[in-house]
Amino acid sequence: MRRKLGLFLYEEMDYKAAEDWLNRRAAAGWELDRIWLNVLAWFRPSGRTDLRYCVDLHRKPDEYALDMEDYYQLCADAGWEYVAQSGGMAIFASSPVARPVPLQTDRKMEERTYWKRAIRPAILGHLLLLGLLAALAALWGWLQWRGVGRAVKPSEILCSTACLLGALGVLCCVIGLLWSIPAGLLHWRRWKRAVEREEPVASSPFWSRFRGGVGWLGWLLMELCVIFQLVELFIPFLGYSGYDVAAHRPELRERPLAMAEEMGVDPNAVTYIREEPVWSLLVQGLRYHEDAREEEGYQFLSCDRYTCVSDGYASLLVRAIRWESGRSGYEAYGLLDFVPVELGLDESWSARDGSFLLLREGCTVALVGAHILDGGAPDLTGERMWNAVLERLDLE
Amino acid sequence: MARKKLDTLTEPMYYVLLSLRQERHGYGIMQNISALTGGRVNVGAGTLYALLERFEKDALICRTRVEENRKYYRLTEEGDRVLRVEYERIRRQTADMERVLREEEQK
Repeated sequence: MRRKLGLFLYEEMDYKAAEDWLNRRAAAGWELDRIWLNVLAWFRPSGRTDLRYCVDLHRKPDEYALDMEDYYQLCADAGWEYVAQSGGMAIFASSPVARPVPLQTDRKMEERTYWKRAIRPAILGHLLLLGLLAALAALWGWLQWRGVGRAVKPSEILCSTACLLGALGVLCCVIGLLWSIPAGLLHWRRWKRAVEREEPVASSPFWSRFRGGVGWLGWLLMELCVIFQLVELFIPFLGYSGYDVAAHRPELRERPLAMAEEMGVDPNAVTYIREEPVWSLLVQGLRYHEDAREEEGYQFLSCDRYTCVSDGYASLLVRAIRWESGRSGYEAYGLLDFVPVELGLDESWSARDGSFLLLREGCTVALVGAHILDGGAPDLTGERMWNAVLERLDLE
Repeated sequence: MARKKLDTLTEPMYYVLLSLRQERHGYGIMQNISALTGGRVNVGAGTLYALLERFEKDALICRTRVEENRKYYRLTEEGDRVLRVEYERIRRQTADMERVLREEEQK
């Protein structure tokens, strides 16, 4: 059987707009089959020309302590068959009989119900949620400022799909909440005016669906955030951290990473390696680190390479890395104060006299650094070393 | 918080109470009102349900039985008293109108 999918993006305060939408669908020959997850509306072809819908503000029977079965029986007796539920909206379709009387015929009573079941809960609920979000944000900000717990780095947020989805989801939710509160009050005022003047209540189909869509999008993004959070828990297991250099290092030499060879260190002196894959929808790459033991002492070499979805995003990542390196440090190397340096790339920054380089060419970002435990470090901007690093990173 | 007592009845309220001078269920009330008023007054199922809930809470009606998910109601003594008070008010209004019309005719 042919079916059609529609998005039921209406909140309780827009139940009249929802009713109009369903009746337009009915006039076009589509009958509502069911609503899934409060938002996906399945329609099937309807052969009826007399089909009408009525939306009433009632929750599902099992959400009430009271027995509501007689309500649905009464509606059925009166010619309205219960079809579907979406949140606090019960959707009824007219039976194939003479046109039934609408479910609500007393406008004053309907106005009171509208306030009690749609507007007041929406405003109070949204205010509460906004307050909760604000309190959580303040707590998180205070904990970050006091240095309690592990600080969340901006570059980690940019390299994590879960974090980005979560941030976008929260943003959508906040926008939806801030929009719904004045919209609810305006709705209420429009209702009262319409009842006083005995006029039909005006509904704005587009804005109702748009506002509902913003809130629904926020919820969807939060759900995706949780899913991606679970996925990202397993990504570190795809990397390696250990002393079996001989088994793992040759494979890594095939990647575009600057390693001991490029930084003037004997590769046979490498005793420990660590590779962490970076994978998100907007950034992919690798964070690589190796320890080498030479006569001069222990040398620590790092190379992080990222490929971003766009130049702008790559530039944002560079800015984030610069900011956090200067405030909270990079790895165990301490604070890195990057200053601009001209190396012929889109962006080039240098710290500690050239021993750390932060580079960007197009949508590729690389952070390369070397540190000798007993002091001193190579200048990676020297001609020979720079050419070797540049060739390995494959930035151009 | 005490529920506000009904001072005057709206037209749907009046006819619902009037219908419950005999035991009826919800749809029976709707049909009776439509027949009684010749279709002039129609009470929707949602409106009726809310009215019955309110009347039951205010002890103007009482539930007598439930059959096949249909609740049957009947007027209580208090409901009968409220209905009669409303009837008297309407009757006095009608009498006042008739008197005014007679006086105008006599002029």
